[in-house]
Amino acid sequence: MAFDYSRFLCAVESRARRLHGLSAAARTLAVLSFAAAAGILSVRLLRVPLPDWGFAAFAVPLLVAASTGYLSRRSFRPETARLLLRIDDALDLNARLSSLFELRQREEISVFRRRIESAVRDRLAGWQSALPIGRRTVLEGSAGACGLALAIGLAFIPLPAPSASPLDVAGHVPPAVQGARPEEAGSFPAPATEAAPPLTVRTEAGSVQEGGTPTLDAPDRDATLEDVMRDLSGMSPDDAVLIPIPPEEIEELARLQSEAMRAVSRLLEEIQDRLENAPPSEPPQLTEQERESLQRELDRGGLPPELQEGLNELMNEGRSRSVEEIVEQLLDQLADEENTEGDTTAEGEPSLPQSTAVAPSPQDIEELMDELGQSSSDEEVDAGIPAGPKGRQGPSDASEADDSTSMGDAPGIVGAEGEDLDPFGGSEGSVVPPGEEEEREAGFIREEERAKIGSEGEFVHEFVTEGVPIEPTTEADEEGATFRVSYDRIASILRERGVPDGAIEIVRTYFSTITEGGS
Amino acid sequence: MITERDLEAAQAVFRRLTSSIEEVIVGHGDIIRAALIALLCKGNLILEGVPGLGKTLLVRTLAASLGLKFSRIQFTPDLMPADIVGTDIITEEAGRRQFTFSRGPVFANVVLADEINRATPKTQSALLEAMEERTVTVGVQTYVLDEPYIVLATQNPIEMEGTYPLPEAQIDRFLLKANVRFPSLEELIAITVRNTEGPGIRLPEATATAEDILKAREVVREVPIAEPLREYVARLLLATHPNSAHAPVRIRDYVEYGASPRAALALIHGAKAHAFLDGEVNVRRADIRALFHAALTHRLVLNFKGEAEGVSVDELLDDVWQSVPECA
Repeated sequence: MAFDYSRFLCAVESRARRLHGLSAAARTLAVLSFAAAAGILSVRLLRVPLPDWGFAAFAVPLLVAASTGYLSRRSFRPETARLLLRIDDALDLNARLSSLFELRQREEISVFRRRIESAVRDRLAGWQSALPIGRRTVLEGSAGACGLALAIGLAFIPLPAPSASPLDVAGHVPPAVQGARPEEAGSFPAPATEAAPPLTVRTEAGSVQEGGTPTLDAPDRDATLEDVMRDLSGMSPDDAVLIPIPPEEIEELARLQSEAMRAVSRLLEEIQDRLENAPPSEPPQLTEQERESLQRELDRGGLPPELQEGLNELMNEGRSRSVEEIVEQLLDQLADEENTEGDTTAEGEPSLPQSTAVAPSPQDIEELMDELGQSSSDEEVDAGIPAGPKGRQGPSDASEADDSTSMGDAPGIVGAEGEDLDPFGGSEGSVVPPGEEEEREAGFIREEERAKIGSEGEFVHEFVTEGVPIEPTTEADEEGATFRVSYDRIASILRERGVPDGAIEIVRTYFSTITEGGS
Repeated sequence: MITERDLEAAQAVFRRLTSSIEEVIVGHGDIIRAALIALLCKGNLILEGVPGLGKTLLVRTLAASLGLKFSRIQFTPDLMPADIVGTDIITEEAGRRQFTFSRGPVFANVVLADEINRATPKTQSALLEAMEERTVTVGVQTYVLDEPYIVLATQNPIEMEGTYPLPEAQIDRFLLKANVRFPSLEELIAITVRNTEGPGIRLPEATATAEDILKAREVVREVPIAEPLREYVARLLLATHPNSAHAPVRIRDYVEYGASPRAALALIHGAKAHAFLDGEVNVRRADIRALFHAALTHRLVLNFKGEAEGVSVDELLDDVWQSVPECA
C-alpha cells in the first residue's frame, strides 16, 4: 500500500491545531476562572444582591472566552515542518519526515523522496505520542479547573456574616426607653459599659404554600440574627414572598383578641363579685361552672400568654396566692391591655402593627446614630461621676426637665412603689411627659430594675424575642406603661445590612405577629 | 534529475574512494572524510598540524585515488604569485617571438599548498581567485581551471616565527578546517609497519574519475534538508556573533567577529555531503553536529582579550552549540 503522506500531514496538522486550541482554552480558563472567583468573592463579601442566575453570569463569559480561545488558536496554521521534526526526533527518524516535507514543498518526485517514504512507511505507528498534550497545558488546565471549582464554591458556600454594627449592641437603648417605667427597664440588659450578649431572635422565613400565596408561619427553630440577615440579604425586592399580611386579617385577629379579653374580663368580674359577697365560712374557691367557663375561654384562644398563664393559675387555685389575689391581678392586666388598646386606637393607630409601615429615612438613621454616639460619649465622661443628681431629684421646672435627658441624668427611674431605686438619689423620679420623650437624648439605664410585668421580669423573653429593640409607647402612664418593638431601629439595622425594603417589611410583619401587636 | 542509479553509483564510488585512501593512510578517518566532503562540495580544505603527521601523503593519496592531476606548492617567504599562477614567457615559433602563458602549479585538479602561512600575503592571495572562482587571471587573460578542483592547504601551528597568518578573507574561502591530530599508539605502530616493511607506501590506483566526482556533486546538492534544520544552522551561525542577542557570554567576551554567511553555506553543504557519505538521503542533525567545528573554527576571530587569555575557539563553539536550542 502506498504511503499517503498527505493524509499523514493532515492528521498531524489536525492534532496540532487541537493541541494549540486546548492550550489556549486552558490558559484562558486558568486566568478567567480565578478572575471570576475573585469577582464572586467580592460580590458575596460586599453583599451585592444578585438574582439566582447572577452567579451563572460569571460562568457564561468564562466558557465563551475559553471556547473562543480554543477556536481562534485552532484556526492558526501550525508550523508543519517543525511538528514533523518533533515527530522525527521522537520516533528516531533522523529528520526524514521533515525532509520529506521539504521535498513535497518542491513538488518533485525524486529518488530521495521515494527512499525516505520507504524508510518511514513502517515506522509511523504511535506518532501521536510525539505530539502529546503539553505539560504547560495540563498545568494551566488544572489551574483553570481549580479556579472554576473555587468560583463555584465561592458562589454557594456560605460565608461568615459581617460583625455586628454598633446598633446591634444590646446596651444601646434608644433614648425613648429612658422614659419607660421601671418594670420595663428592668427587663433590659445591663448598662452599656458591660459586654452585651449577641442578639438572637426567634424567626422563621415566610413559606410559600402550594397555591403560591406566601404566609408567615410560626417560629419553629432557633436562629441567630445573622442567620436571618443572611437569609434576607439573599432576597430581592421583587421576590413574591414579600407580600405582607392583608390588613383585613390583622384587623380580624385584633377583633378576636379584644372579644376574648372582654369575655374573660366579664367572667373574672363575676367571680370577684361572688367571692366578695360570699359568706366568710365559705372557702374562696372557683365553682365547677366558673372553672368550665374559664377553660372554655382559654380554649377559644386569642388571649395574651400572660393572661393565659394567670388563668391557668387561677383554675389550679394557685399554691402561693389566694384566688382573690389572682383574680385581682388578672383584672388589672386586662385593664392595662384595654387601656393600651384604647390609647393606640385614640391616636388613630391600629392595635397591631401594619405591614405597610414606613421605614425610617437615612436622615433618621443618621440622627439615631448621632444620638447613640453622643450618649456613649456622655456615659464615658460620666463613668466616674455619681449619676445624675438633677434628674434623680426630679425636674422642678421645664429647664430641669430638659436637663434630665442627659445620659448621666437618667430620668427619675422609680420602683414599683415609687421608692427611689437609684443609690445616688433622685427621690422624686420624674415621669417625663409623652410629648417630651422625643427630645430626649440617647442614654442607658444604669440600674437593675425590678420587673413588674411577669414574675421574674421575663416579659421581654416571652413576648419579644431577646435582643429585639423595643421602645415605650408614648401613652405611658403611672399605672402601666407599655412598649412595643422599635421598627425604626430594626429597619435601620436591616437597611444597614443591605436588606431590601420589602424584606424589612417582612421582618416587621413577623415581629408584629409573634408579639401580637408588639406590646 | 537524479535517478536511483545515479545515487547508487555515486555512493559506491565514494565508498571505494574512502577505502582505497584508508589503505594508505593510517587513522585520520575524520581528515579523509573532510577532504572528501570538500571535494564533493566544490570547496577547499585547510589542514593544520605539526609536521610529519602525513598531511602531504594524505593529499597525494587522494589525488592518486581520484586519478586527477596533482600539484604541490611549497610556500616559502620568497615565493611569488607568478610562481603559483604562472607567467608569460617569450617563446619563438617559426622565427616569430611571442609571449606564451606558462601555467603555474595552480593549474591542476588537486593542489597541495604546503605550509601556506609561510608565504607572503601577496602570494597567498594569488590563490584566492583560484580557490573561489576556479579561474586564474593573468594580465587581461582569464583562464578557467579544470573541474574537479580542490586546494588542500596545510599550515604548521608551531614555528610561527616568520609566518604570515592567512587573512580572514582568504581563510574564509576554505570550506573546512581540519586539525590533524597526533596518531594513537596503535595507529603509530601501524604507520611504522607500513613504512618500514615490505614494499613501503604505494599510492593507490585511481578508483574514480572526474566525471564520477562531478556526478556525485550533483547528487549531493539534491540531498534534502528540512527547513527547521536550515533555520537551526542559521541560529547557530548568528550565535557566534558577539553582538547577537543569542550569543553565549563567552562569545561576547572573546570574539571579535563571528562566522560569515559563507560558513552557513559550508555547514549546510558539508552536512549534505556528510549524509551522502554516510549513505543517507537527507540531512540529519548529526551531520550538522559533525561538521560544526570544521566549518566554523577557522572563521571566528578572537579579540585581544581572547587572544591574550589563549581561549580555545573549539570551546567557544561548544558553548554556541549548547546554547542554541535544537528546535525553536
